[in-house]
Amino acid sequence: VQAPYIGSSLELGDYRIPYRMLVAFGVALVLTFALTIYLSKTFTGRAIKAVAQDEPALRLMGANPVRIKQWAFGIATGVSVLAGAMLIIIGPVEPAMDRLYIGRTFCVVVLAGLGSMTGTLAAGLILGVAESLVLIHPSLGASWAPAVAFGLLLLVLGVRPQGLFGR
Amino acid sequence: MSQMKFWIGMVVLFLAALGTALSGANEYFFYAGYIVLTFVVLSTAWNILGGYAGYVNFGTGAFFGLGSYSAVVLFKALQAPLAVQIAAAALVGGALGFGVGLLTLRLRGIFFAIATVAILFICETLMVNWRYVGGATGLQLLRPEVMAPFGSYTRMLFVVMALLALIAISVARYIQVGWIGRGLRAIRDSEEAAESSGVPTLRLKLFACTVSGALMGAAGAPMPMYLSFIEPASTFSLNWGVSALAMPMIGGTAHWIGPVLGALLLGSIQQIVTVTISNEINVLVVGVLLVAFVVLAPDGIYGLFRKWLRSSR
Repeated sequence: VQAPYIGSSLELGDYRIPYRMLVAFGVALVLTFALTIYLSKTFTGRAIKAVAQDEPALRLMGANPVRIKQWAFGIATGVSVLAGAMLIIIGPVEPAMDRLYIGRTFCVVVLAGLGSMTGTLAAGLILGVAESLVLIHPSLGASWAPAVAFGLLLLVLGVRPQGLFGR
Repeated sequence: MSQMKFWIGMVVLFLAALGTALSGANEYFFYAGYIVLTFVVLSTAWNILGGYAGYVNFGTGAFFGLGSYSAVVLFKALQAPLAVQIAAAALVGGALGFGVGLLTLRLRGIFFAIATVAILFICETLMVNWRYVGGATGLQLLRPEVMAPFGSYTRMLFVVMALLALIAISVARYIQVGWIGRGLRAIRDSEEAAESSGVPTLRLKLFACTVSGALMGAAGAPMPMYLSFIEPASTFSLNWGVSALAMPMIGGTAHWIGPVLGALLLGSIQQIVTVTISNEINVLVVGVLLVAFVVLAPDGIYGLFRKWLRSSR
């Protein structure tokens, strides 16, 4: 994949931030805020939140829960496809990458609290920093990295199952 | 009466397995049959929690793999006999099931399913980093001498797995027909209603999770001896969990015969596909059949059979 911003990086004093990372980070930010606004301001967005809370009540309000769920699943798939597309500018991809992302996704979602959009940003940062710390730790290293996401996940489930930012 | 019939059937099946193992049947039959029987145990065990109580477990591989690794540790450290390995694996699997259950079964919804996936990958990472059992490269194992009446080690393992399968089926049936099964079904239909009618929901779920984990652990114990080799990536493969989930779904989750039918059908198809086409198509077969059954026959083969009985009457 070729793009003008791949290979060059932003230099801030001693730190170098590759532009491809910044682009992916920007897209992630925009998507998260777009979803937050969509879920809290539009009718369908609110209906998606409602269907998770009380299905019969939503039906009484005149919305079709099955249609809402199909719509929500579509949005979810679309957003994850975009995330997958961003992956190609970050680094190499291969078909067996799934396992890593199952764990990270579950971990971020549970850490943020199910249904919390802005929470996922903070949870993603926490997980990313934790994984990098284990990765550069002299006695742990890369072979322990996959356990970070899942260990964190179990910890949150045991201590605070509603997540850090959930109600 | 049906109680008697069931036990007679079990004994007959076991004698049949023993008979074939002592007969001159082709060695490959036992090699493939062992895997199919492993799937019978795994899917029956999965169904105790997943089918009766409706709590989906994606981490069958974790219980299975820990069973395998406890057998390997016992074998390497003490040269323990197979029966001891299986018992220890069942204990470890049961303990893991109890632990995971205690952590997440208090919560409703998808937390249990998420936690089982987490356990699977954590166990794999632990074993990858444990040098004693070979780490990521795995460990070669030397099979002990085969016991007297059997012609080869694979034949003996086939009989052992047949015995485990029959035990698993008996346990599943015992749970299903008794008050525990009624309680679990009440949990699946409505947990609030069950709790308010006096069903000890948490204790029943924990019990089902422990029994299910113990059976899965026991199923994993003979695996290293079967392969003469153990290695974390395939032992803790997510495919065990997917198969153990797909087989009861295809066979029918309401009755103990469902997972058995599903495992025999899907397991045999997988073995045939592995030989005739390729190993990679296996997973595809499981996926396609699962989707087809979920869409067309959500109650599985057992459900289809019941419907056919009712309409032909």
